Amino acid sequence: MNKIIIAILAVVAILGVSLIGFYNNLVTMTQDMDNQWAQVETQYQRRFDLIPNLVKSVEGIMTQEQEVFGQIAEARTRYSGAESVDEKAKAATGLESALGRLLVIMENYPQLRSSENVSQLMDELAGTENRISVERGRYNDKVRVYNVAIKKFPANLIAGTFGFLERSYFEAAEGAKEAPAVEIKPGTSE
Amino acid sequence: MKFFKPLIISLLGFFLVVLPVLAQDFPQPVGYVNDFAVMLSSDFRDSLEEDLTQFEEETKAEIAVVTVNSLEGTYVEDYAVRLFEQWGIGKKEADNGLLLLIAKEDREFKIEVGYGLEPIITDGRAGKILREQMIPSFKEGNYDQGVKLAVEKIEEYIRSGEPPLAETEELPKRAPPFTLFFISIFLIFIYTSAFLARSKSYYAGGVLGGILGSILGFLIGSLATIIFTALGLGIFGLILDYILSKNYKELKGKKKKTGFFSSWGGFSSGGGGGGFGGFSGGSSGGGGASGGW
Repeated sequence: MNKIIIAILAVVAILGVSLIGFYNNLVTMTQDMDNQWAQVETQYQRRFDLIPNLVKSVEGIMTQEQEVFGQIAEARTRYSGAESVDEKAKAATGLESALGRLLVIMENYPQLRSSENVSQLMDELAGTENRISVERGRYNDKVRVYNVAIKKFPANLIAGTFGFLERSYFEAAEGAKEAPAVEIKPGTSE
Repeated sequence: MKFFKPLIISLLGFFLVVLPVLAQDFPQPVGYVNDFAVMLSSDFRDSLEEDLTQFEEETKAEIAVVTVNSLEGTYVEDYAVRLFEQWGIGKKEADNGLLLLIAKEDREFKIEVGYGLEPIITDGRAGKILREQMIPSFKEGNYDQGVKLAVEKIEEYIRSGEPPLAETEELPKRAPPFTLFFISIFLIFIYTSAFLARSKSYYAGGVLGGILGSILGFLIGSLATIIFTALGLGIFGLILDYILSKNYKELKGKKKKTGFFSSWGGFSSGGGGGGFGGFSGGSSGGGGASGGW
């Protein structure tokens, strides 16, 4: 009789401890993901701040391309107005494609490549795009681990009741798996 | 011990199965200079290694120069950030590492900058170094010269910039209070153990455990928990004291060391020797610049 009670107590204790561990683990993962998302947003903000400088330095030469500058300005406004994570991600994607278009058009202006100022800005932009893709990839990795953790049996039975819901991955803009190829052919900046 | 053996073996088996899947096939670092593609002359390699070792002593920043034959199908930015991550270039708290990666067959290179150095080696500066220092020499096939000039420029920037070790504020705090808490618990535990081992009695640990248990129970809540924790810790203390006192006596009998730490059973720690001791766990996030020649 006594042994049975002890056995039950032991089982309850083990279950309790593992439940606490499970819960704390998910809390850690959630914090990790939020933290990683903040890293992504930092890089978005960096890009956001960089764009006016770039636009200013090329606008004078690219006078016939008002359309793309308009698109960039519009995407930028939408980003600064975005509130939720989803909205921000969407607006950032819009900004990305407008920027991609500008970069393609810039190819047609070889005189831009010879400007040290423009090449530095392009370096900054390329670096930022690369950072965005790195941080975004890390965010997705974290989401993947978390999603697997809450979907596995028996976690899937109780994760929902604690409010741990599945998170969606960040999808890059169509065709933008890598950073947009920012390529000012080096070596021509004399 | 007999009981634990199967457990340990099965655990080891688990890791043996899992680890190869996780591990990337990057080579291990051999120093600050890793000329895997043999692009540099051996004289230059040695002097660069010496220079970078000295630079680390002086500024604490870790600069890795790596040449590889091929990027193995990926692009240079991706290879660089993963290599950086795996090696952990730079000091862990400061993230003050920098990787100069050169892919021989792809004719591409990348300067990957650790988080802590980003304010100093901005992407613009990194790009400028590639354009002005690396490309002209690399086009002539003078790799030694290109790397030499680039590293000189990087060192110059880092020397003139703010000391990177002071710039750790923007890093997310990784809950140091908890770590500290556990370390202090651990230390208290060790010292108490050593004390209990030295005391002649076999029961002092039990008494101490009982007292600690009742305090803990009182802090947590009801009478039931007080009894429970007091009993639990009491029994634990009793067993611990018994084992420790016995251990101590045996050691004393054999005239072995009975310092505080050896009463517990002995701890060991390895110290590093001279030369390259590996990188220190810094991380990067894709900053820097890339290009080709």
